[in-house]
Amino acid sequence: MRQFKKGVLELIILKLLSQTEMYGYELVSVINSKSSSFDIKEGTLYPILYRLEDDGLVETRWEQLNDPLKRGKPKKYYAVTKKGKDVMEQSYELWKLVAKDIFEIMEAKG
Amino acid sequence: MNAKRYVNEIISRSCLPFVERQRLKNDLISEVEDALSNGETIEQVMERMGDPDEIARELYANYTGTEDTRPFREYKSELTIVGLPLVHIVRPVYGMAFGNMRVASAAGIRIGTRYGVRSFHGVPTARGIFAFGPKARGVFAMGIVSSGLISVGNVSMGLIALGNVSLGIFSLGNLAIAALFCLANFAVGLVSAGNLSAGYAAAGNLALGKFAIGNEVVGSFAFKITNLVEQMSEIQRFFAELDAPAFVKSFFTHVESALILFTDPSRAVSMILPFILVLIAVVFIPLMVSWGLLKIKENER
Repeated sequence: MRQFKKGVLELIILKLLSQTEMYGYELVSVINSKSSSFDIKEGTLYPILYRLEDDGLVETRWEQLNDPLKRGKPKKYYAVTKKGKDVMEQSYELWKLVAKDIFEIMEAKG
Repeated sequence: MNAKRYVNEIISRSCLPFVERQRLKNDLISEVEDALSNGETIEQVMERMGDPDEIARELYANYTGTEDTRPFREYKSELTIVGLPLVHIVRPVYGMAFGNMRVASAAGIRIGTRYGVRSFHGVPTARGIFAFGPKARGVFAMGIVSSGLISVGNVSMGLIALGNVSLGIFSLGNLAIAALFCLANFAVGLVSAGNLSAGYAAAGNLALGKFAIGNEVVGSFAFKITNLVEQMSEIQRFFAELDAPAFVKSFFTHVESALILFTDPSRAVSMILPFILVLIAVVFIPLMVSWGLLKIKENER
């Protein structure tokens, strides 16, 4: 059961990042708050996020720190790429087909 | 405990390649520091994010896509003294480390070349009063690479360092460099003895120093030994008359005793036994103890 949730997590991450760029750890809290069935932790998120980055579906940029007095270190933003958007849409179409089939099979009487 | 140390506890146990650990370090430190600057305490952050070993376990499982345990075993004692655990042992499971490479390349694509697994990947450094592991730091540290007050290892560094390559105040080994006293095949130190030794005072087959004694010597006050037995009284006179600082003279007193011992081979051999016993005590017993502790921990699981 854990496996299909993981597969879908990539899709969700791509969708969320297509709406707005975020820090890595922001994704954890956004995903957890937007869904009741997902309660993910850093240990699950980062491997998936990095895989998406390595596959070119997601890209990073460093935050520009405009205030030189601020001692904070620049942080990394994650955003979806064009390729990521395409893959996301294709994957979602496929997922919908699969979901429909599963629904029909599971709900079948008899 | 601060952000850097907490994150380090996590990634040092993750058994992941360098590139991945660096990425994680950036993102995790950023996360923790952000939480801290938002008013959370480090304790709250740790409570929320979880136990470092657990996070490391999850990371490893998600990267490899398996439920394999990470290729190391660890024992850390609860008792700490000045913040250091009394005992910390890390044992890599070599068979598994190589097994991972098979699993990884079978999983295909990304893992093949990127996860060239070396068995010390992300294996934590053992840190404690007594520390044993591939990398060890402690008051008494033993490992492949070790550093500490008393440090034993292939490469070791410390106050008293024993090793293949050792660096310390006092060091012993194959290639050894010491601030004070050095005994090695290739010895460099203020006072050194060995096959090839160099220092302010040196004794050995080839000895270089201001004060030197050996088969081949280079130095201001040097004695070249061509026949030990015949020259013994000459040597003793040389040491007695030597105008040198006290520590040099006392070093040469010991050199003299050693040379006297060497004139009588049977006595020299009889010194080997105590040396072996000391070696057993220093190396074998800690190994057995750590093996035992790890076994106990495994059975407890």
